[in-house]
Amino acid sequence: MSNHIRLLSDIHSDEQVEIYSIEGEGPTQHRVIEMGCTPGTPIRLIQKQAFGGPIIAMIRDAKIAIRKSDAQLIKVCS
Amino acid sequence: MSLKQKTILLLGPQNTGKTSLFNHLTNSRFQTVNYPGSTVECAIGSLSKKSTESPQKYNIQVIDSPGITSLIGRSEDEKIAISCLTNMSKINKTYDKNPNSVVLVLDSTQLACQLALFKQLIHAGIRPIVAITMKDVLQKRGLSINEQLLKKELGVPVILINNRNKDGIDDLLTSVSTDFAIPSSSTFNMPTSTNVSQLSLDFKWVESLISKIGVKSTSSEKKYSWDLDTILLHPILGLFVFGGIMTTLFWAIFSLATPLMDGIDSMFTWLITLTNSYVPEGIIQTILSDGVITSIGASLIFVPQVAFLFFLIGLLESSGYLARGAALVDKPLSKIGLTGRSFVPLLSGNACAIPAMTAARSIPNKGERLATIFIIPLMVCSARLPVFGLFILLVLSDKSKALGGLMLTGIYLLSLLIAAVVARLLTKFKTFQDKSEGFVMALPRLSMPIFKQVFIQTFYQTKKFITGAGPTIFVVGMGLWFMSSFPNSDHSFAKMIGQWMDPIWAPMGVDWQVGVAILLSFAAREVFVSALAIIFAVQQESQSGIFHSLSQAVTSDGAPVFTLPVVLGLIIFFMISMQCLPTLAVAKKEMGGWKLPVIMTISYIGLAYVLAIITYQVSLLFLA
Ligand SMILES: Nc1nc2c(ncn2[C@@H]2O[C@H](COP(=O)(O)OP(=O)(O)OP(=O)(O)O)[C@@H](O)[C@H]2O)c(=O)[nH]1
Ligand SMILES: [Mg+2]
Repeated sequence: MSNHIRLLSDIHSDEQVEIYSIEGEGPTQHRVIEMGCTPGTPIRLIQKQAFGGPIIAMIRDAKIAIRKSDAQLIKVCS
Repeated sequence: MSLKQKTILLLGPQNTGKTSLFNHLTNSRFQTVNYPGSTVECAIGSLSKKSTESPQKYNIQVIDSPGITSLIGRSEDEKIAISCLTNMSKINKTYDKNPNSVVLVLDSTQLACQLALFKQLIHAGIRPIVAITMKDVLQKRGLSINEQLLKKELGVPVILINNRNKDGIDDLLTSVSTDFAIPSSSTFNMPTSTNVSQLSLDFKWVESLISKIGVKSTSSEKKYSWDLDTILLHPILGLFVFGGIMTTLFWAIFSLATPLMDGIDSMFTWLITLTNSYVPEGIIQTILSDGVITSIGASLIFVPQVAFLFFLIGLLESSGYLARGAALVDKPLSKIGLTGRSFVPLLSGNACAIPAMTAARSIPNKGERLATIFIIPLMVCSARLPVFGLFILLVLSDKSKALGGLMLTGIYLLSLLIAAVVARLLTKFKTFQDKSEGFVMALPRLSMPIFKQVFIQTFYQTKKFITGAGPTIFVVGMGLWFMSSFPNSDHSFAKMIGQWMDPIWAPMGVDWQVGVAILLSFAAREVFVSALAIIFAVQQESQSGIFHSLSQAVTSDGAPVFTLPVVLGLIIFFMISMQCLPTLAVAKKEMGGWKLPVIMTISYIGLAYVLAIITYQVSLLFLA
């Protein structure tokens, strides 16, 4: 199923995907995981901000904003 | 007989209703804000007496704490919350080392994320009571939680709560006042770093638990996906709405307040006339009308503006929009080395720098936090508002008052620009460079502002504004009245001092009276307005209202004092100059030493002076 691995920053609005992995180790990665972005979790992209602003996504009933460069740390699969 | 002291710690993720709950439990009135990270300090209160029917065996203290994401504190506010858990005696020596009971406060609509924190507490050897808030929101969505089953699965007391109507508070009180599960000698097994595989397991456990107890995950359904956020966070519309809200905010402060300000001005003019006709001529009369009434009047005139500012910011806080704002400005802020996390501290700096600097604790990156604190004094705080309000009224004629709102907006924008330039410069220094954590933020649910709460909050903040600087303004004002009336008003002490300092102020184009007022404004910015009012009231005969008499003010050779170039220079001066001792003290506390606050103060005063001179001299070339 994990045939098509992309970055969270690259998926389209309203697309539903699943978290594949979180790349690297660091405070950002830890914060994201603590907020529930663990591998296997469904995540839906709601909106992308203009001019490369943050991405708004829905995960485990929570709406989160995440900077585009930080969203690139999150690999997802459909 | 003194009762044994017991402590209850309210702990939980951000924005779950801990402070609301704390207020109910202790009959307090701490500010609750619909923004993650509104509490940045622990608050302590006694459990209210009426709470328990049986006579109390203990003297119970409730402690509110800042929200946390996990048991590993990264930002300053999280560290404070965690230290409450492990080192309660630091707050008060008479407390046991650990809290005697922990209430984990979770949002019923967010259990799928937040229950993992319960598991982390259990791993650390802490058995909390679980309070689940926002019962009303859950019900509105047609969802429910099987409370009995959850209690059984978690093995701890579980209480569902609605903070809006206090439903469930009594049950929680009964629970907390009888249950002190944590032995006072216990040591918690606190995690030192994020254990990713353990967290994954914890979330798996939460998922299976959620499917058992009834709350259905909505992330896969489209049911709630359309909401206001479709517009507020829209890539294009969102920016327009943001711009619109901010401009309206600054414009409204001026425009809505103007009629009230005129009212206050006429009232004090009337009071002065009254005094002059009933009190016999002499020193008592002048002390009353030129000193007391003028100084009180001048400081009260701008209170409506300040109250509108507090009210409008309160509306934004209550609605949940601030977190959206933070997301929207993250990109531009990234250009000056900040993140969206700095938005709320900076915005609240437009009310007062002191809580704003403390609010910066919720910024995880130390360098970013220091940079934010460094530029907060450049925001148009409520003490600057009267000064700018006066300048605007001085340069506008009566018929162009509509322009006032626009000018004030311009002043706000220029301040932001200056702050941005300074922040950009700071990125060159190592102290401000730490950028280890990016920008990830949970967006709270949007909600209708609770007007009653916003009104009450506005009332208290405005009261504090008046009583805070009030005594200083009054004392300085009286001193100034004396100095400018003796030996006589044409050759007063104030004039001597003013003329002696003339070389300092002359390059800014200001007359000695204004120079004296600037000097005194270092006691508190608001003093500037009443100082000017007093100096000119002593010199003038007519009683035509404070604005009017100032706009008619002339120098000794008859030229107008407040020409456009002078006022522009003064605006720049007050925009940048650092003139608030309490801010300096808080900056020292939050920045961890005197070095940065001192650099900050000296450079802002110096910069203010130099830029004010440049502004005056340049605009003289074009405008005169
Ligand atoms: N509808 C509803 N709203 C609530 C309830 N409890 C709290 N709120 C709202 O949720 C928001 C956050 O409440 P706070 O009490 O400030 O939350 P907190 O946990 O102290 O937040 P932080 O200090 O930021 O961690 C406020 O706007 C409250 O009015 C509740 O039971 N029902
Ligand atoms: Mg709080």
